[in-house]
Amino acid sequence: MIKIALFSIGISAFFGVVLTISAKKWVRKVDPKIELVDKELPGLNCGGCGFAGCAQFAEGVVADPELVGKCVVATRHAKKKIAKLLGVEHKSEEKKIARVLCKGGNNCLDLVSYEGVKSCAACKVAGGFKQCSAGCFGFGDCVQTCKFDALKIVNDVAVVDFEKCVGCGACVKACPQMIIKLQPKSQEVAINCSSNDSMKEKAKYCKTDCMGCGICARSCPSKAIEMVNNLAIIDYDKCINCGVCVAKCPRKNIDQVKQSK
Amino acid sequence: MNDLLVIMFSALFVNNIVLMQFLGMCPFIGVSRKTNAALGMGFAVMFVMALASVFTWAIFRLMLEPMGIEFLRIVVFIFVIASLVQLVELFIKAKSEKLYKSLGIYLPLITTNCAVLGVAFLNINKDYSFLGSLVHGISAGVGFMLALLLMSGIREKLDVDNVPKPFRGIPIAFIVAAFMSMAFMGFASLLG
Repeated sequence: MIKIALFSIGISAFFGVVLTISAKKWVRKVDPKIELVDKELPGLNCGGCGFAGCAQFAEGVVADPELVGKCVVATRHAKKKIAKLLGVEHKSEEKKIARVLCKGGNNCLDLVSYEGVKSCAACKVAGGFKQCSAGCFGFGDCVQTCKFDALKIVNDVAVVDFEKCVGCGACVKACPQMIIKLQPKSQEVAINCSSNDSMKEKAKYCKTDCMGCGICARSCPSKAIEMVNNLAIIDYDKCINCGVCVAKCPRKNIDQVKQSK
Repeated sequence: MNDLLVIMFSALFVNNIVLMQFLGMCPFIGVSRKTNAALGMGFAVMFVMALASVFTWAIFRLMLEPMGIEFLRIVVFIFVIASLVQLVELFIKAKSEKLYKSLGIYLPLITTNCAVLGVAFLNINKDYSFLGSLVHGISAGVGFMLALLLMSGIREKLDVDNVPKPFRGIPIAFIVAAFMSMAFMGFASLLG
């Protein structure tokens, strides 16, 4: 009985002392600012800043305060607070949202029957299966990568929920066709097509494409649209968000995401 | 030398800690989604098993047995292993940022893992010498890492494959683990 008691007390005391001393000796010198910054961050670990997570972003931004703007999810107020903690000025950047520049999906004809792995990246390696070389495959790599649940596959094409999108850019990186682009919220209008094929070819394989007809370019009051390689291109310096092209497009391909005031 | 080799091969294949003895399944299923995580976890487990084997063997043979209190080994082993791992974690955290990021984060996960405790007990039950315990600890760790690496390779592919919806994720991982276990049974008469 005594043996057990003595042994237990002895071994507990030994390890207790050893651990206490080591905890004091082997302390990792952490900059206290990192924890203060981390408190202001949203903690979603979306990776939009380019770092692995919010904790890593906190470390990175304490090392280089210029990177404060990289966090796309934090509110302007939070970013100003962080900037003040680090002793720098912060200029707000404009919010961006993701636009999927394709409306094909099951409106676009298949070239071959694809029986491979149901992943966009894998499909791209296999060479794609749509008649349109710039078409969305609809397997949802972007949907899977989005941490904010802002993407869905509807009729075999990716669709963005503009309320939920924060503009982190994860989907842009995930799309192997590179047809998702980040666009500032002030640039409300976008042509949802990325194909430069001839008018005849596009008419054959897609029903919701940009035909290349040029009606939008002709009706634009500020002459902001130009037809380049059978595709309408908007010059956002001239675009006034009037929405005339949206109404005039015969394929209903152009969409406008109105900024909430 | 011969019996050390026997211990090593038995811990690696014939009595693989995860696939044949069914210990340490929690990190096996939990950390096997990505290959580099699996590698980090495997190394951490190997290190802890080796350390635990050495210290628990010493404490049992040099303190518990002579004092006649072998029955305390469950409590004492858990205590010692937990303290050691905590010490190691403090050390790694302070000395090497890189090492901490690659395997330090798994150390709290395996502190009281049944695989680590199991290896410590097996050293006693099978009456291994000091060197035998060390070899057993390291080999069991390597066997764990082997099983984990095989599993992560399979799971990375399963994640993009057309798995039926009810089976996606953990259920199919368990089924695959069962098949792997059956495959490892082929090693049963390796050591005669």
